[in-house]
Amino acid sequence: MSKTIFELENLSYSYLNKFPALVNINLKIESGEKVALLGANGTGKSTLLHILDALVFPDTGRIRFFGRDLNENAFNDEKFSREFRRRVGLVFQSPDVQLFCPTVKEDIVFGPLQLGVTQNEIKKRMDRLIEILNIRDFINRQPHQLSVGEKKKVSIASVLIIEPEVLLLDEPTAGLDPATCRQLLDLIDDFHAQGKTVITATHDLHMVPELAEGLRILNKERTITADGSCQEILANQDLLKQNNLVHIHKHRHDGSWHKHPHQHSPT
Amino acid sequence: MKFKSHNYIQRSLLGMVSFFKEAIFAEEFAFKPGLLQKIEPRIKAALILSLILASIFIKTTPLLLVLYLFCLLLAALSRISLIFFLKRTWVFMPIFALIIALPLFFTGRIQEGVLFVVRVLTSLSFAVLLGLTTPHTLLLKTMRSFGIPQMFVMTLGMCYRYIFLFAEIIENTYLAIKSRVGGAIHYKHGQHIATWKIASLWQKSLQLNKDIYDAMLSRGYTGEPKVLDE
Ligand SMILES: Nc1ncnc2c1ncn2[C@@H]1O[C@H](COP(=O)(O)OP(=O)(O)OP(=O)(O)O)[C@@H](O)[C@H]1O
Ligand SMILES: [Mg+2]
Repeated sequence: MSKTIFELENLSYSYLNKFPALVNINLKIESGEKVALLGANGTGKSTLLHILDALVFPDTGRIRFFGRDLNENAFNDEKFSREFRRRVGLVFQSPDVQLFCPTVKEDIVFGPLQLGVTQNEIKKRMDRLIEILNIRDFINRQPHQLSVGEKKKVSIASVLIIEPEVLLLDEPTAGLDPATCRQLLDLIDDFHAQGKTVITATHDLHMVPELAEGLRILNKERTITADGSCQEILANQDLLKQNNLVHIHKHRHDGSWHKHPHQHSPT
Repeated sequence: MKFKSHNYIQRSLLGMVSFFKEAIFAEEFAFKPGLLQKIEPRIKAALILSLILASIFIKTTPLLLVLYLFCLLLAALSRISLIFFLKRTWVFMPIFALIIALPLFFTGRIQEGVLFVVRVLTSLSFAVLLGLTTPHTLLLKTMRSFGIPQMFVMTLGMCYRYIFLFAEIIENTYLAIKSRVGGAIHYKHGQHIATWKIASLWQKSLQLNKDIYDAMLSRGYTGEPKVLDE
């Protein structure tokens, strides 16, 4: 069996056949990788994750999952469809989209219930996640009453409980305080340590070294311009600057303003 | 030029949204230690349902009024502020009254008209009473236990959830407009913004609809929602 999970070939996608969101993407993701899709706003990161989760299908080009073509046809096969949903989980960028049930608890158990996991097993998994994510206090509340960070944690729980092999994360650290952020990064590490695959979309350069080993950069033409290890790419300041990924810091020295890019020395 | 009527949006749009948000989402009464709150939700629902049925079949106005007073008494015993309760039930009345009862009044069948209005008011009040004294998640569960299909219950629950989201969007939009123009929006301009906003809200709701469906698919939804037995 092939160890390549996703293979995308000359893939393009546009919204309403008018607004291009992905242009000629070539991408290969191996089992057990921990990669980040890095790009400025509007470069197609979310769209790419939706393609990987087979929620939308390409206009042209193809995408394969373990060698099998992903298209509408494949998902007419109920067995394959269920299998795919069990193996691949996506945490949406907006928790308001992700959480649609009347209570937090119902939202968390939604996935495994649909996928036919036994009720006992679901309860076991839920208890563990509640412990790890420290969300017991609001388990019976309504999702819309929670703060942004709390919603994010519940969103993540609602996907982790499916115990997928591939985790797709869309801006997972946005809106989290430092402690919660740390918790999440550790959770992702644990997940990856079990030999699973993590693909994260982000524009937050600071988080990248913790979130990923490999990097793919999406540019404003909405295609992939760089593919390499985290170290390689983060060392290439020009590339980062071209793609609007560098913070420009501005501060005063002796009464005059001074601008320079934010840098992390690799020590 | 500054028109007093810039308050138009403030009152009509924001006021309405806040009102509905409060009217639909106020849960503070559901957790008060009142009479109805203590009754098991299924029994309570059955009880209220039979009272609503009674108000539909009663044929005389005085008897209906007695039933209505009984409803107010129940509300008071459940520690619901009467003013709040009246506001909440009466605000829905004009719609019904206008649409259905007006022709009766015009054709001289005044007694019939009055009977109709009181009947609607009474049954509506009972329904509102049930809603107010039961946390809505429990209400959904109760519906399920009465054999109402899960598909319907889930849809209802989602409507509730996303009406709240839209109420927030409208409120935030209003605040955003206000913070940018300092509250003094020209009447015409304000109306323009409101119209545009409603159009974009409609668009947004279509998009949201698709996104949520995707979120459900992504977690394995295949068209038959399943729930945890408890
Ligand atoms: N529903 C839609 N209809 C039309 N165009 C869309 C839609 N969703 C996204 N787009 C467009 O597709 C492009 C890619 O959007 P996408 O959401 O994938 O970007 P992103 O990299 O995730 O951005 P962000 O960092 O802001 O989340 C953008 O130019 C956007 O305007
Ligand atoms: Mg995005």
